[in-house]
Amino acid sequence: MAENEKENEKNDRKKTNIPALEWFFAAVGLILVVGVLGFLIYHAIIDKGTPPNLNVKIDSIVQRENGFLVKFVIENTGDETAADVNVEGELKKGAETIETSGVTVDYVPSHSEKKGGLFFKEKSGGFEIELHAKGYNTP
Amino acid sequence: MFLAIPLLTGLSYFIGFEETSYFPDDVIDAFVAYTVGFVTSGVMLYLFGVLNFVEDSPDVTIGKIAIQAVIAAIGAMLAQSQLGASGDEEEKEKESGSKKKRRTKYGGELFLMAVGALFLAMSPAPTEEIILISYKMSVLHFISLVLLSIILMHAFVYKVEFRGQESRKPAESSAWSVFLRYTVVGYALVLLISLYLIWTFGHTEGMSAENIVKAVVVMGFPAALGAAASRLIL
Repeated sequence: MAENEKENEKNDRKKTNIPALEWFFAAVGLILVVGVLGFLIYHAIIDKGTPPNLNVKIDSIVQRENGFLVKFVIENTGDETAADVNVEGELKKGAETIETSGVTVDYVPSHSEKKGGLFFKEKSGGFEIELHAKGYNTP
Repeated sequence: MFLAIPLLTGLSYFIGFEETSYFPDDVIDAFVAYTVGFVTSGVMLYLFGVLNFVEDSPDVTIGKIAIQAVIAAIGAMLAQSQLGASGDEEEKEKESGSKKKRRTKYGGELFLMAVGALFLAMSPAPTEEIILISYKMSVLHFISLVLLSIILMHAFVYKVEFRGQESRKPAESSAWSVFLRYTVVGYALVLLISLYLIWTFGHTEGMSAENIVKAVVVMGFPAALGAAASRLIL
């Protein structure tokens, strides 16, 4: 029994000699966790809670057999996330709107961007395309 | 889909850790588990009508099964280690005269936490819900969630007297030392795994760093519980 206890004690003492590697991991882990917390707190301070600010930009226009595909990037520069964003595209020749097309983007998170596309049936060229967000929901 | 390869490697290590058999055996076991997972997932997904051979391309079908199979394979491994544990452990105890051997390795502990985190977080990871929840939360919620995750993790494994608990915690090493070396490292691991999962399932595209961190924290909650519980289950 006494021998056993002695051995246990020995084992215990051995374990208190914590390898440097474990402390290295602990340090890296601590930096990561504190970093995440700090990052969140930092954003809590700088975010002013501005409402969604949505800009729709044309990414590229692809010609298809039966019309055009207008790929777009929608960007939210506000501090709040917008849901169900209604993107509308107008195909204009001069002041006249020839065709409209639309799509709903599920979510555009704050300070982030999402991609989408709109189809138009018009085949002839020489037009202008105007894209804009019509509205959103809060998530 | 490319998730399966590192996972499979991990699984083989995991088995190697549970059962003290030699390495090629572990690799074979890993493949067996993945095969079992693949077949089971295929059958279940088909039964639930998720597989649509007419509309989906073969790529999509295989992809669906392959991802589901990863979770199923970990489940298969767990079952194996759970059911095989009693006999094995006794035997091992006789052999080495100590059952602690298996639990004392630091790297092994971390690996178990990683597997537990993956196992619990894999199920919600492909869904949209994790991201949606993160949209609804305020920064205060996030900070609270981080703290709660850490507290729960710590409580789970070190404070609550539980089966499989790390009972040989040396009295001399302070609570802070254990907290730093296990809980904090464990949570950091959980965050990295969450990031990996969220990235794998394409939730990071076009997202700002802030939103990615938030999604990671939300994902990290189930992952943290999985990591903490893994040391009790596995």
